Amino acid sequence: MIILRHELRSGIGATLIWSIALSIFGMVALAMYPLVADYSNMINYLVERMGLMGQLFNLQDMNFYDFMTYYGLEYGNFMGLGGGMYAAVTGMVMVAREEGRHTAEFLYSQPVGRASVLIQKFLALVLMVTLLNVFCALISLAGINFMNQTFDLDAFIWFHLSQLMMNLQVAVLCFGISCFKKRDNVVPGLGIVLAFYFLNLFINVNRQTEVLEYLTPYFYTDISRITKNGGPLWRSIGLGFVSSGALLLAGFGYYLRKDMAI
Amino acid sequence: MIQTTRLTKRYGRARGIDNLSIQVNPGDIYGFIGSNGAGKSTTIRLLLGFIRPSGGSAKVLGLDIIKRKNDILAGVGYVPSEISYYPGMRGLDAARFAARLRRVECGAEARRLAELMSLDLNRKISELSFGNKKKVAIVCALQHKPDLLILDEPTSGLDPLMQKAFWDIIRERRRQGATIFLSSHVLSEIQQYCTRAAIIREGKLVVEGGVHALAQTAAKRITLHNLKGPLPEIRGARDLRQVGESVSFLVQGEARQLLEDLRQTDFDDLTITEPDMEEIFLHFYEKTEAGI
Repeated sequence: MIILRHELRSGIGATLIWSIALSIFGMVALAMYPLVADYSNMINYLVERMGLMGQLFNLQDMNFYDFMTYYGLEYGNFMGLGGGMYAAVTGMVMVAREEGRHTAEFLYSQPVGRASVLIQKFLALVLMVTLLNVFCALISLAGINFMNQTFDLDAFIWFHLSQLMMNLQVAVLCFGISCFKKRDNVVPGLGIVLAFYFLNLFINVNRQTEVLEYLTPYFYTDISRITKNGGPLWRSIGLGFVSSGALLLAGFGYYLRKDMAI
Repeated sequence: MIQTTRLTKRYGRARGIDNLSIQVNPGDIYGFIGSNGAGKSTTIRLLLGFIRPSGGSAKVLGLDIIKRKNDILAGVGYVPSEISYYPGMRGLDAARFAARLRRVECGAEARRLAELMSLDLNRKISELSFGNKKKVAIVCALQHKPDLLILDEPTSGLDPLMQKAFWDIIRERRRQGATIFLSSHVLSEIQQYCTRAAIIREGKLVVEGGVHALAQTAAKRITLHNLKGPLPEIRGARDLRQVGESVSFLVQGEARQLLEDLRQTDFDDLTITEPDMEEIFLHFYEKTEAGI
């Protein structure tokens, strides 16, 4: 577990910075809730008349009297994008940087198999993504308690669990892609996150395209869908992980046999 | 310790190495010589499992390079020609990291090697010069006392004093039973320190053998002192050099033929010397270029 420890040690700083930054956004959103609650009648009225804009963010199914609706929408927007980007960036560089930054020659001249390196790096990725999500959820929970805000704890847990699953799915996908690459370029990872995000917006606008729900993990992080379902959308989550997992396995297989770029 | 059999590596249409067969015996200090792009680093990367062969086979420490890669690496110390370390690491961190991956405790040996090479292991590697980074690589490669050392241009970047310290360490390791395989551009150090050598050109083995035997199979340098009159045509002579009244040239062929040619001129003295490594290298390179 030496490589796992090494990865955690070298990645923990960035993870904490991302976690703190996202938590600050979360706190700002929470601080604004009393204002939103005061105007919830008006917001609900406006949302009903927003048309396409309301559909885009799936607002028509939401009730802004409800704290979790507000929290899921606001937090889901920046935590979904921010957390997804963190997962993508970390997943994209974790493997490919060994070749991209020319440390592969040092690492792979030690008697440590490529499979062992990949497994330990993958575990480090999962731990860091989980740490970011748990950190942000706990800070949010502390903030909500500080505000003395009543809320649905189950919905809170489902929502954050779904966010974690989405982040992990993105991380798995980007880690798999990273195995094919010789340079640590984060742009494809960020592109994937944005594509997923906008695909979900597209599905929101055109409900006939819900068949595409399995292509984007943002579908199952939508608070209105989670509350309507009475829990995380495990079917969507499962299928998402099957497709990302398949790419991960293909990446593993390729990496074990590839010629190292040194 | 190392045996390659028709080992081949192609990069698409580009050539890597072609049907390379070499043998490194236990206790050898084996020099691997070739110009840039000849295939030296490709061979080393194949031996260490960084890349996979397109054909042929190879064994290191008696183990197949594909099936037993980790076992091979456990018994090998490798110094690359250029190396990068993880950001923020000190020399000591790199040595410890390598030792932990090998599951060995060799801090005392790492400190001893650093002391021999005047290396401060507590400094951040990013602040070190190229030569000092090379010393860190040498510490990482030698600290666990491997049976086989694979060194890719190990003395590049080291000043002459450090080169001497490095070769002292290498000879000490050899006395302790290690085998050394090294690539180098510095032909004089191959001649001075290596017991056997191979010359590789455009991915193909040109010649392999003991360094002294290579010198004998190559041309001899003939020097005629105080030559009186013009030099007659010497069959097979090349690399003609004139210094004052002396003329020297390389020649390979029958001694009787040379003596016949020399009989046509007058000179005071004659010396026949083994060519230096550079001349051997050029001799074999030119020979293969001419398709001989």
